[in-house]
Amino acid sequence: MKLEDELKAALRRQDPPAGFAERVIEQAGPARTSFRPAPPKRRPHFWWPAFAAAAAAVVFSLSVEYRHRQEEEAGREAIVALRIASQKLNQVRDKVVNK
Amino acid sequence: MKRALWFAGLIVAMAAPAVAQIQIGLDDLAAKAKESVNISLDSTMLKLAGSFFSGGKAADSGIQNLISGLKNITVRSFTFGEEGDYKMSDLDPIRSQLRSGGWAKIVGVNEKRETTEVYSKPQGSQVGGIAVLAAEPKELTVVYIEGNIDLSKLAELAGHFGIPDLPIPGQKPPAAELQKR
Repeated sequence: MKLEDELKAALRRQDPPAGFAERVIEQAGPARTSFRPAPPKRRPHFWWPAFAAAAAAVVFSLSVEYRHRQEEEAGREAIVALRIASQKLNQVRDKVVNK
Repeated sequence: MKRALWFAGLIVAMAAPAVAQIQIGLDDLAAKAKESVNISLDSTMLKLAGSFFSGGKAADSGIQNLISGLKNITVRSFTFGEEGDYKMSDLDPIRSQLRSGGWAKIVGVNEKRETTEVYSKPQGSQVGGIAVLAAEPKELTVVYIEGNIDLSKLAELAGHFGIPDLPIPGQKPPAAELQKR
């Protein structure tokens, strides 16, 4: 019983000494005026390289298509031009031969 | 002073090829013509055309070989509704450029109402270019081809080497084609 009484006496509620609260606040420093949450951790942006690769692929395919069209147009014009030239030369040849 | 002269000579030499090219003009006639063909293919366009014939569906070594030596193809062809819509003198500027540019008239056929002239530009033992001026009552055609060209191959081209028989504006299709239809 003696031990129990000693513990009760040691653990009994006691009021803090005068000025305790003020001292604790003083030790803790000035109060925070605003609270900023920590920025969320950013995920690595994997979509940027994917977007760049897709854009490059589109530009490349468009440029290839444009070049093909240019080649085709130039080829068709060359055919018409050569055919007219050929026809005129043949006409001249016929005229010279028939004279 | 010597350096200035050297640079001046260099500039003249660089400008010379541009001056040597014949200016066909005749743009005013397009407004009067019922139909017209206006084709100008410089060396860049001819390279593209060469690529067109080098592979794929349009592969044709004959045309590709013919085009590969060319620097310029210009064709102006006009079909008029009425006789007298153009004057023979419209061709005079071209003739004078050809004469002064070292071109030689190799064929000249004058008929009642038609005139055809063929000019050639000698380049060593080869032909460095050909120009055809064909004037009919209702049709005027100027063909100017600059570069190494085989005339016999060019004459063979119509209907050969896979050249499709494309209709030329203002002209009736050949009799052979009509029979096919």
